[in-house]
Amino acid sequence: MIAGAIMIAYMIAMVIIGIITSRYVRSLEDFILAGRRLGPWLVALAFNTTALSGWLVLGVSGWVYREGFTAAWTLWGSGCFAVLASYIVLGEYIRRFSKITGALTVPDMLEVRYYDHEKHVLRWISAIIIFISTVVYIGGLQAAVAKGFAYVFGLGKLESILIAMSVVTFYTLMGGIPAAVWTDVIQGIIMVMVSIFLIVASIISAGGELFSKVDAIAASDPNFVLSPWASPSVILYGISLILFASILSYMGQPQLLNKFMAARDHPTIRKASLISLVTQIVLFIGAFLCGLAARVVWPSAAQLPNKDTELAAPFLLENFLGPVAVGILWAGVLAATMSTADSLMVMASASVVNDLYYKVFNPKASEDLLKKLSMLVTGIVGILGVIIAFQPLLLLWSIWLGWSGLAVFVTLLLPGLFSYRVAREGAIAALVLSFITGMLWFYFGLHRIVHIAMPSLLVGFATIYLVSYLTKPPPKEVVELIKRVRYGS
Amino acid sequence: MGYAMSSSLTSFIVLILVYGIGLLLGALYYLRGFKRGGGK
Repeated sequence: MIAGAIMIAYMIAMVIIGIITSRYVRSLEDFILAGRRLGPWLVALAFNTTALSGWLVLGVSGWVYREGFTAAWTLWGSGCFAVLASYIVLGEYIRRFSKITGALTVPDMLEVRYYDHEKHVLRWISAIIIFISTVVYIGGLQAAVAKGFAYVFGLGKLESILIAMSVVTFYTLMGGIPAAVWTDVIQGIIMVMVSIFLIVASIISAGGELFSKVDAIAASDPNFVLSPWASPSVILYGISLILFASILSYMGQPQLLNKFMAARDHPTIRKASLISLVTQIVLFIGAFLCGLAARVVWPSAAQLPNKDTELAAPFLLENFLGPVAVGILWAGVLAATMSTADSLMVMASASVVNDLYYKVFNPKASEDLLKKLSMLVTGIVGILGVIIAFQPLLLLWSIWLGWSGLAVFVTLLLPGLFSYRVAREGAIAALVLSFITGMLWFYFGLHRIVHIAMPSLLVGFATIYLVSYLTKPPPKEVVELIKRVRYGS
Repeated sequence: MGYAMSSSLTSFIVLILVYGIGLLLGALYYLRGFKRGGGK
């Protein structure tokens, strides 16, 4: 009952924020970039909460429960270095590029960098990739939410998803990114609280002997406390996780890069980097420890509710901290999930309305029409996601699939900002091949050998350089623009 | 237990140490900022 009441109170609060922020949305730039006025705390928390979702609290803790220290690779990558790399390598350049060129989205940026103003090929491909990946991603997110409602209220999957998604869709529709960003702050605070609860529960549950008990598990399941250098296959998988699925993938996510574009100035990015980093570390340690603790307390998955390892975190809190903590945990899962879903929805609507309709088909469209269209597309993405959510897939992988689809943009962004030579043709080929490689890798089940992101991004990087060197170099204006972005004017 | 460190604890400590390196780099970026190009 208490857990349910906390969840309901949380959702009502989110709807109220949507209504309040909607008053401040006057233009498309307001809707997509919050008018480029965000300060460090807003940028940082929006970054963290958008990057992390139910994937962290449910997916990662469940994964640690099943496979133990194998997950440590992701902890290093996503929990730390990916955030650093995104801010240091790309953050300021992206902000400047977007400010100088007036780009509101990643496809906008790509079109300018790869001088694709006439045919808009990159826009089309980007919109398709963003749309497909977003729908898959949101499907995974909804699966996380459904677990929550089923656990607390005993509701079925359909009812659970419909309730949660109507809340997210509603406040995103009303307020766009300003609403998403303000809700992100509250969601960020709740997520940090949950993580602290998880750390406390993990310590209590094992009676202060967590690690010696984990060693006992390792005695019967040697893979559980696996040294990262255990065997070539472990090292290979580790590299695919830390370098490709984490570090490079973070740098490709348009919904995260948008937060840099919305930042007020350079000091904002600097301060935000540290806030993001500390927050991310706290969040990952919580998810990791609770996975270990749950395995110590309930060594067999059969002892977990529905035999579902992705319910390890709530079950641990319920047993060791009580119903209030469980209510806050589920509010946290909802928070994490909704904060990702709202940014994704805004991005998907931006990719269709701003990137295609406004820029290609109807440059004279009124602000009012654009705003209404954005809302329409946001609604459609929400509904399509519901359909995807009914696919039988671990939410860990469903979310990773969408994530890896979006990661392909890094193969255009990094070379685009750091090389004067990469050209339009190379960019088009890389975007297409990289995305297709990733999807095929998953389709053939090869993702258990090496994470999807590795083959996908390797193909992308190889293609862009190879094709670019075989075709004409970019025009002078583009080279000048990169210089201006990188060295100032 | 004695002085024998459990292997999972060692692994966890390594994990935290790596985070420490990350934090150090983050703090450095925060303090020194983005020098190249003189971004304001």
